[in-house]
Amino acid sequence: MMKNGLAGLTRRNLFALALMSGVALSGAAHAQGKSLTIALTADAVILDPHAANELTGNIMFYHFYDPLVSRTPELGFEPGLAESWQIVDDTTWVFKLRKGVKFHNGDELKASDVVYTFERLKKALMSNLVANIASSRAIDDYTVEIKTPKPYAVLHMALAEVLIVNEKYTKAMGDEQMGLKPMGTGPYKLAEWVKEDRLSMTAHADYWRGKPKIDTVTFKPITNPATRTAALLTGGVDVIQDLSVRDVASVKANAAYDVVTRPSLLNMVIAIDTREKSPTIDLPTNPMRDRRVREALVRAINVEAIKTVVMNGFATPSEQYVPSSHLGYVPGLDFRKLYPFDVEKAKALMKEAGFEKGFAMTLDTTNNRYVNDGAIAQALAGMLARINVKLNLNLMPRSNFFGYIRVPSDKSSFIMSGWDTPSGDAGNMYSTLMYSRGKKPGFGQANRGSFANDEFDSWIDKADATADIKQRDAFLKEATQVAAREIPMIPLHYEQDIYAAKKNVKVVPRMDKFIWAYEMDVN
Amino acid sequence: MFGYFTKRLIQIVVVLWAVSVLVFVMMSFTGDPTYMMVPLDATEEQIAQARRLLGLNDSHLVQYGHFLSSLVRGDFGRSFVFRQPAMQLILERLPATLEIVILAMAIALVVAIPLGVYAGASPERASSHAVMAGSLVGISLPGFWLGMVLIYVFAVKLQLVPSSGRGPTQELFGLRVSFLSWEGFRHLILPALTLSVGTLAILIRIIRAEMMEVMKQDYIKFARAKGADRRGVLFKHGLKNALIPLVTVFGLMMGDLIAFATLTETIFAWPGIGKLLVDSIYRGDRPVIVVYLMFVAFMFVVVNFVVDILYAVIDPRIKVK
Amino acid sequence: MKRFAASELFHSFRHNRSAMIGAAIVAMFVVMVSIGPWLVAQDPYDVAQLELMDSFKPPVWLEGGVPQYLLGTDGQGRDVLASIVYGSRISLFIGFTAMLGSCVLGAALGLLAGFYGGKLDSVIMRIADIQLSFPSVLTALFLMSAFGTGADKVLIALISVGWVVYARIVRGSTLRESQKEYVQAARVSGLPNRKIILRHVLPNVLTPLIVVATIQVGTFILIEASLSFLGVGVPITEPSLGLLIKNGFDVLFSGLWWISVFPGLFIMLIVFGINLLGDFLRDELNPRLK
Repeated sequence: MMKNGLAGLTRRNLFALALMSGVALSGAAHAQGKSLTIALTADAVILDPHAANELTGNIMFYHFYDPLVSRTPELGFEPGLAESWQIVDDTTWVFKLRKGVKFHNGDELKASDVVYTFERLKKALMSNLVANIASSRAIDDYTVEIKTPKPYAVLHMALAEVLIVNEKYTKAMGDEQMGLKPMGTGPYKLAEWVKEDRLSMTAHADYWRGKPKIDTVTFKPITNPATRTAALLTGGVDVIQDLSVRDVASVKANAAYDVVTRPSLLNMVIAIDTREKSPTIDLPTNPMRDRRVREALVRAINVEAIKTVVMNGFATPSEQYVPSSHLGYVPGLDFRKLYPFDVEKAKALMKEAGFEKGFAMTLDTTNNRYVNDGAIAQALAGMLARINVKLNLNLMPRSNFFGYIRVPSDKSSFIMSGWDTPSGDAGNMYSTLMYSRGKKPGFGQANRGSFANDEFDSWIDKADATADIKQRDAFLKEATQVAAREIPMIPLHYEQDIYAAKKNVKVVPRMDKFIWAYEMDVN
Repeated sequence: MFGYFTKRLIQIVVVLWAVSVLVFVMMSFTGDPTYMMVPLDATEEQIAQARRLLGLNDSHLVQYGHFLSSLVRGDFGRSFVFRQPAMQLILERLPATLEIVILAMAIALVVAIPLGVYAGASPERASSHAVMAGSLVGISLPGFWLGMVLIYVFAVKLQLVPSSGRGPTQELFGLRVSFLSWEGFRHLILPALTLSVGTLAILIRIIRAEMMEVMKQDYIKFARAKGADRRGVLFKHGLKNALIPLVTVFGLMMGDLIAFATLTETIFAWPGIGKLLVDSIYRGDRPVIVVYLMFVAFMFVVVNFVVDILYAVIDPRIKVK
Repeated sequence: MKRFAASELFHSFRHNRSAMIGAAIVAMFVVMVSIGPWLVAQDPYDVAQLELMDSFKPPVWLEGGVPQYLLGTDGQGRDVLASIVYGSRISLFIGFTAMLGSCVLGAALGLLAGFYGGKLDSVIMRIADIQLSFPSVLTALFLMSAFGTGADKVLIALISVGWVVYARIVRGSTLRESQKEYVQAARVSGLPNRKIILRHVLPNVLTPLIVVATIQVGTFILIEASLSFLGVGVPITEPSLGLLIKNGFDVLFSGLWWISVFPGLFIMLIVFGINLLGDFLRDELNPRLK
């Protein structure tokens, strides 16, 4: 049989066989180095770290580039390209660069690259990343001095989001090519990018932290959650991002795989309009100016039910506006304990405030931006109906949403959106979302409900006036207490990140949702 | 002939210009894409800067002026999201779309011609009625739904083919194609099949109707009377004459296939221009939408132009005017 | 005369099995959307009636199904059958209203173009030409992406793509009719144009319009479904059949097939019925094939 089969091979078949074995051989040679394939939910759109800020892109950026200060998976901050820094006076910081850091092209990192990066960012789409840098200069090749416009105790934390580019290379490439051919000091170099198919990268042998353990990393965009799971189970992929909650049980049951979950930083919050007259409420005065009505709204929302049913258990009800890792978090303070779910109490509060008959208003939110956003909105409508608040839903694709709800938010009364603060500091969220509007430039720019509270503002002012991080934390805690009492927004839950991986892969889930191959390993 | 060419050329330019104006006017209704690009805590100055970078600071009229003037220089503008030339984004994804469109067209023709000829030649048979009923079902069902059902049955339940995405690709004449490898072809089957059904159903009906007309013609009756065998008459005389009108609907069918590819590609996560359009709509990526529509319009005009010429070649009775 | 035509039509209708089936399907849907809401237990559009805890129940004949939800429930605890009844209302309403709108607009423009000719004619017909060079799904998709979601906007988008075919037919017939002696005579005798159009021209183009209109309702239902499936059609709180399919698509891979499969079957059924009727009408009313 066997002999016959072989004899039957024509010359052409033999040739094909030879070719195939060649392929197999090169594959074997390849396998000597460790490789890892990771399926993400989307493809990056642009590889220039100064031109975009969305998760998939960020994941790629941190493989190619480094920041001065690195963020740990637990949201701690440690030296990155800068080995140390000190605060000279209230508004002056000096950063000492690590020596001998090599870009992918062999150039050494110099202070001039850092200064150039700040300047480039100021003119780029992501200019907000350097909003707290007034000026910078290179004192020598390895020392950078940064001036902030006002005392800013968390500058180093903010710098964790600023990725340093090579001045010479960037100038030579131009903006368009920078989007396609990233080149930084990061642990990986771009090997090939076939859009919407794969992006592969190879280890940067001279990486300053040491050569990466995994030699080749490939990212594949697989949008459909079920397909992602299938790709993992059929072996094509080693790690997947966002395992579908419906597949968690079956993947967990399989001994060959691990499921890793962790709460993310993305807090779903509802902004409550507190203006005299609210755009979608057909009443002479806005009922939600009354704190009791706001409390009733909180008490009528069953966050646990949303978690179990809508989110399939994969959400963490939010205690406050920021997670416990952040400056400004008050230990022990919990919205769910302060205002537990209680429809009767909520009804009583509505009655007390004179709105027993309730009112109707519109909830504006997205239908394709956050996990199950549309379903959460519908669940909210059902819950608030029980206290006679009729919620009309206005669900928009995100392309319309952010322009629609934009301050002055003159079309909205009740807005649900997500907010995350990877800088690890509540101050950013508070000054943007809750500080009185129009008092100071750069404050309250996303205060959609026009919440205005002098006490709250004063705590933020104090926090911003100190360069001492402990004092800042204390002032922000005071602000948190005021907000928990006044309820300018309703915090719902943090989305949960779920990864699945083969057992032999070490996955390090990060609070900022980034997937960083440098921290991973394959056995 | 030369006059005809210039006339058509002018017509093409006018159509494209009209499309560009229309698209620009319509796009001014959409939300401001800046807000999707900038972080939520961006200040007014940062937003203004982003606007400037994206070229959104000017009035729509000025923006259109810029668009036209760079168009003359062969620059179709760049995507807000990718920051790459919009035309390049489309050309990159074009092979993937052409791949399923062409395969779908092939499937449709291969299946529809024999069925249509048969149903047209013997319209009263029960099996012909079944073919016609089947084609009516094909017209009546939503193609995207059929795609989902096919995925559920063949990919999820039977696990015969992959449920979505494009398989490995090879270079062929500088284009990335996936039908050369078995794995790539497996990815191609369901999307192409889904896409072909609507066209297939319509084709059957057109061929049948033409066939019925042709069968009434004298030369068929003569041929039959002369004792030529039935199959020979059907395919040699009947089909040949029935196919001529098909050429005219070719342009329309291509149009439909490209249009429905937006849905098919979305369901199968097929990285073609249709998915790019839908994604761009979600992202408010105006330049890509504009260039996509102009590109598709251009394709149609060219296809129709070629069809006219072909028609004149095939059927000498018609003179190119 | 009219009655005679009607009865002849009726006669052949009674002898045409597929036409009867088509009519039966359409009639069934009309009954379903008019009295259905009183028969189903739940108003799927009233969020207060939805029970989150009842989400993702399978159809009654499968394990875990409950009699209360015959065809199962979706992720919000919405009864699939009730959703289909309400969704069919929206789909049929949009399909039918958009057809009427297109017909009126297209016929008006076609009459104007055909009767008056000249500049007006060439402007209207140029627009029609340009539009015809685009597949209607694509045009509608693009219009919706500019307008944003909403049933009213779907109607506008559908009418914008639907009028062309009527305009062309009516213009053609009008041109032919206005050459005829009786119209010329009427013109010479000083009859106002409006009367000539209404009395002499319009009745003669009605027949082809009816055929096109019937089939167009089906096409519009499919286009609306496509738009809603892509998320640019009707709003999520009041889903049409197409949007129901989309909602089910996300969980189809997890084996929850009933949420998307049943609405799709209903779309297919209604469009099939309409097309059967349309086929019949075309065969009967179109002299070329008779």
